Amino acid sequence: MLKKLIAGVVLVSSIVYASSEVNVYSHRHYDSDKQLFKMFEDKTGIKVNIVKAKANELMMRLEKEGKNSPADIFITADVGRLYLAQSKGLFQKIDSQYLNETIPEQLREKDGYWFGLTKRARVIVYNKDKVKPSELSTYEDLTAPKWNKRVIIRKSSNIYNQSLLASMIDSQGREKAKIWAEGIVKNMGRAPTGSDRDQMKAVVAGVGDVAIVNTYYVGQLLNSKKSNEVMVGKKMGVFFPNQGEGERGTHINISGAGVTLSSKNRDNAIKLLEFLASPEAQKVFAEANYEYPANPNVKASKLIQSLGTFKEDSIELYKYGVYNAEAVKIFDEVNWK
Amino acid sequence: MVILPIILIVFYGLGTDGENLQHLKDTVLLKYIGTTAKLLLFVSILSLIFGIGSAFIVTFYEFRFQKTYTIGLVLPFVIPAYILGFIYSDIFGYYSYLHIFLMDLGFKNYFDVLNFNTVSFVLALALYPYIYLMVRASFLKNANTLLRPALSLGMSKEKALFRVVLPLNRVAIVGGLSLVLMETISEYGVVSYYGVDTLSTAVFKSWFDMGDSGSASYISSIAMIFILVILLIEKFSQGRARYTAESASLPFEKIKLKGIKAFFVHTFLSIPLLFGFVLPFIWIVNYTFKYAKERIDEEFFIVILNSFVASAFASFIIIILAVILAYTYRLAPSIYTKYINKFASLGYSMPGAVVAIGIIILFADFDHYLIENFGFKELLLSGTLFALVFGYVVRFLAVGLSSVLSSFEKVELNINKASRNLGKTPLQTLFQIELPLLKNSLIIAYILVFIDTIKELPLTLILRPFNYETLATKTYELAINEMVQESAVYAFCIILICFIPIIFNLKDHK
Amino acid sequence: MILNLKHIAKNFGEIEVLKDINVDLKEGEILTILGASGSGKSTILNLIAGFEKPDYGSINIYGKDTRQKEPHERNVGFVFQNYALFPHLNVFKNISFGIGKIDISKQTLQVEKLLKLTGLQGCEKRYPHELSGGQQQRVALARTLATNPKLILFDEAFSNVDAILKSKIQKELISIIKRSRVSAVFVTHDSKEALSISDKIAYLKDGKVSQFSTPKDIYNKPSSKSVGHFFGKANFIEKAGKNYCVRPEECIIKKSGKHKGLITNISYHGERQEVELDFKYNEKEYKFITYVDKNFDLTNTKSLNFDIIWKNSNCMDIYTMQP
Repeated sequence: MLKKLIAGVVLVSSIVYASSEVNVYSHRHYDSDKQLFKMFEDKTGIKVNIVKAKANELMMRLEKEGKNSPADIFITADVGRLYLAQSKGLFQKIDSQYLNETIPEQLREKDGYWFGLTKRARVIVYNKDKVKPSELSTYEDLTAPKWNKRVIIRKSSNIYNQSLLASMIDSQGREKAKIWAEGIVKNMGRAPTGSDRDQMKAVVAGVGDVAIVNTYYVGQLLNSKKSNEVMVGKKMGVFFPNQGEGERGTHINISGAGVTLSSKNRDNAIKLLEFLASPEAQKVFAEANYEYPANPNVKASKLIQSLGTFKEDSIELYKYGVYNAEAVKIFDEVNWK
Repeated sequence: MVILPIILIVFYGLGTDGENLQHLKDTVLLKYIGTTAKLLLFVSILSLIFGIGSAFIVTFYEFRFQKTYTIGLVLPFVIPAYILGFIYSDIFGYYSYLHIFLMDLGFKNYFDVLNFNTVSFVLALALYPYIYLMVRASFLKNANTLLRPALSLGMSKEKALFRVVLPLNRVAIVGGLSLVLMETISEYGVVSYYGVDTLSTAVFKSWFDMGDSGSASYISSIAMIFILVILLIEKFSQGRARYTAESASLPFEKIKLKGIKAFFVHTFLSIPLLFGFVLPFIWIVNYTFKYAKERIDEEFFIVILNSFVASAFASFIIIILAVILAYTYRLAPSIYTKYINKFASLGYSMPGAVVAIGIIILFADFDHYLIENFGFKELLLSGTLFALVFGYVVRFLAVGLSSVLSSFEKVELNINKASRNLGKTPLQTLFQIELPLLKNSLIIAYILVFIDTIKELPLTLILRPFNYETLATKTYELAINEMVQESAVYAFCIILICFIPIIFNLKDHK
Repeated sequence: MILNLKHIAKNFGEIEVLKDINVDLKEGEILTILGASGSGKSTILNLIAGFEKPDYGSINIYGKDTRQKEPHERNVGFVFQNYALFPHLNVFKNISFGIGKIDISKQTLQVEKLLKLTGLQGCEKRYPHELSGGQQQRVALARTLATNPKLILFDEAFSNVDAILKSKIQKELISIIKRSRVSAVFVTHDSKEALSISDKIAYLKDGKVSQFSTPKDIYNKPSSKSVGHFFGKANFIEKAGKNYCVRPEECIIKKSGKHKGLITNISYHGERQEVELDFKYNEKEYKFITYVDKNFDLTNTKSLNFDIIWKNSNCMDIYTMQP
């Protein structure tokens, strides 16, 4: 019985490798992605095989498998890791007219090593009962004494926090970035713990009054199947910081992908990337997961649109990767858990 | 072969620059070590209280529902710690239904669960069954020789517990405790979600965030020191007492409890049972029914099959290896065989992700070698089911080995000698005498390992082949995307799969 | 020669358990290795059976060197202290376990013969835990006899036996051994047992055989005070430069006795009374233990006159006498 089962599984997996296919290592864990790959398969007849794990671990696997790796595409949920993969020589250049035309220049690597697929903004959310939007202005302002014990944010091991700090290192230098991190630690309402959703729940519970979170989490709360989460979502106000004259704009990050250097199905890989950038796929990203589509011709979901438009930080995104290690060190130095 | 990945990890990247290491030492490393030590202490105390206390009560006393407790107290074992963690944050966290309810009643203050104390509690709940199982078996074995004479000598029960029962069963106690501690050290899911920084965090941080394998292996070796201390304590506790007690235990009379004492007993036993199993299980069942329709599709059954195949296969190999190692040790207990056994156990004390990377390195090097020298076309082992199964073996051999070793201990050595004396080779003796006698214990060992592998997450994530989802990965995927409730269906299956053999086995055993 | 141990030494870690053991055994003889617990006597059995290897010295069994032989190749019987019956097999299967590959009918015949020899007829379907201690021992013996060994080792064979039944079971066992024409090595700490069942006794102390002789010799001519005391009450008295071991019974109480002793203690033992006397011999003070008839009235007696039966046979050279 057992032998048969094993034989069966081996058989199934070898069939998978046989036909026209594309192999994906992905950090994205969303149900909607499965739906997208299904759409791609139906459309092109190319089978999509996936391994999902954390980006750093997948990168390690890619690195060790080297030129013999079966992976064709590596998808991450942040740009820092895309840069890291590129600097480790795991990606190859892709010159696709469609991708170059569809995805704005800021959201892709200039030589075509990687392409952004979706966008998310890291914003300030606040308890509508306790904070007026007029009291808020910039990320930097959250270090002011008036926010003492009122700021909630997750752990420094979170990549979005690391990217945020990296962007500050780029725009203001290491010293000022460190002062900012110190200031936030001083103003924390509690020691960092839990997910972005947990930060918002803590804000509503009165542990603090403002939190720094990614936009799509607000969307997820408001559309949750659990009434208590919707309650939390409704109490949250969303504020896009650093919008003033001469300010650099709200911090954004991307989820993106590149074709691996070892790719053995390069054409299929490009086809998949082009598909993911196409309006029909971008619409799924936007609707299912409340992310901002990378394709400017596709609108964000109604809910996300209702949060309003904003000025984005125009930093070259790869710099998050450049300063990532430095950011991690600063967090440790200022004792940001 | 099995310890190769671990050695690789320890030596991999030795000599790389220590810049990050210096940074970690300057900033957070000491704090992490302190937190790790504190967590180990808290989890030990709690799990010892739960484990020994409940084992003692259900073994020596008789009261209503005693049999139900006996079985029920094992059950927290089937809920993976990370799922327990997610569930507790969902039930008790800020703006949970409970919090809202209390607010409606006018309570202003509420507690934060996302902290160190909850982690200690959750880990103790998920892990105390190791102690409970081992200690209870030991109590049963020694019941006659131990408690009755002590009580008849006029000792009070409390005195008997501390002066006779605990010292006599110390091997089982320390054995169970060392498993608990090793799991705690290697734990990453719960501690990272709850914001508790242990050495695991430092390993992940240096290796995965900073890409510095040298520092990671340095920190792993600090974790190793903790493990060595644990192993030394274990060895010390066994001392020179290589005792082989009588094989069959006679039935003995339990002390009947009534009134206020029985009430205390019920209160005490219901804490681990309620919080470790009943409450989370109700949560899981509730959301399973709510989301079953959306989640049960074709993929669902493939996921179950995948989990089942990989775990069943890995557990089988582990038990065979464990029997070989344990039997070799039994026939000729030398320092050499002893250290092989200790070494084989190291995989258990490392975070699954770290073990996985060790295996990726090992298999990738092996595959590259095949490709370059023997004209293989593609990677042979990397990214296959074999790699995953191998990973489980490396990580969980310790669990199988320790339970196989202790079950061998239950059969007196003279029986083995008698068979060899009657002209049977050691191998014939193993098959004709030892294995038939150990059948039940081996099944239990198999179940323990099976449950551990089916629960294992980080290792599965990294090592799995393309399109390979297991119950653990699906549960995690949903939970991490903050769809904890929807993951209930998969968590329910993990529990169910683990549940059936346990119930079946406990019933069979009476 | 059935068994020959030469210069056997064995250490466990730092502890020297056996230092220099020399023992031999002829066909049909029963040897008892006697010693206090922890003296290493069970280790000797384990060495003979091959479960342990000696650090030094040689073991010859049936005239052949055993250095290269594993336990299953030695064909030496072993009856364990707690019998070590296979709990999952019934009596029949326990006994037939060691019988080589022969056809069922022959096997059944052989087992039946053994059942009869050991008086276990009718028990073949029972399981070990359903048997009494004595029956278990006989199954263990039958199981061993089934492999036709010429030598059987018994580890504390009677320690688990009820004291009342002990002598009966001893007699049965010895008679089975003698009828089967095998040699046997017993290990025990019980000197009475050793004296009554053995042809030869080896007394083990401090890792060495301090005396190896017949039961009569070891009782009458102990090679040291400790051996003398081990086998019963003994008085050691110096006479003409020689040391004599005088057993309490080697003494006649009579009014005309040459020696006079003051009674210091009397204890009643049922079949006799044991009396402790202080007396002087050749200017030396001795405590002397002797036996008095159970009906002898000692109520108002303060002293006793007695004669010692000096026998040359129980003298030892004073210079070789160890404490």
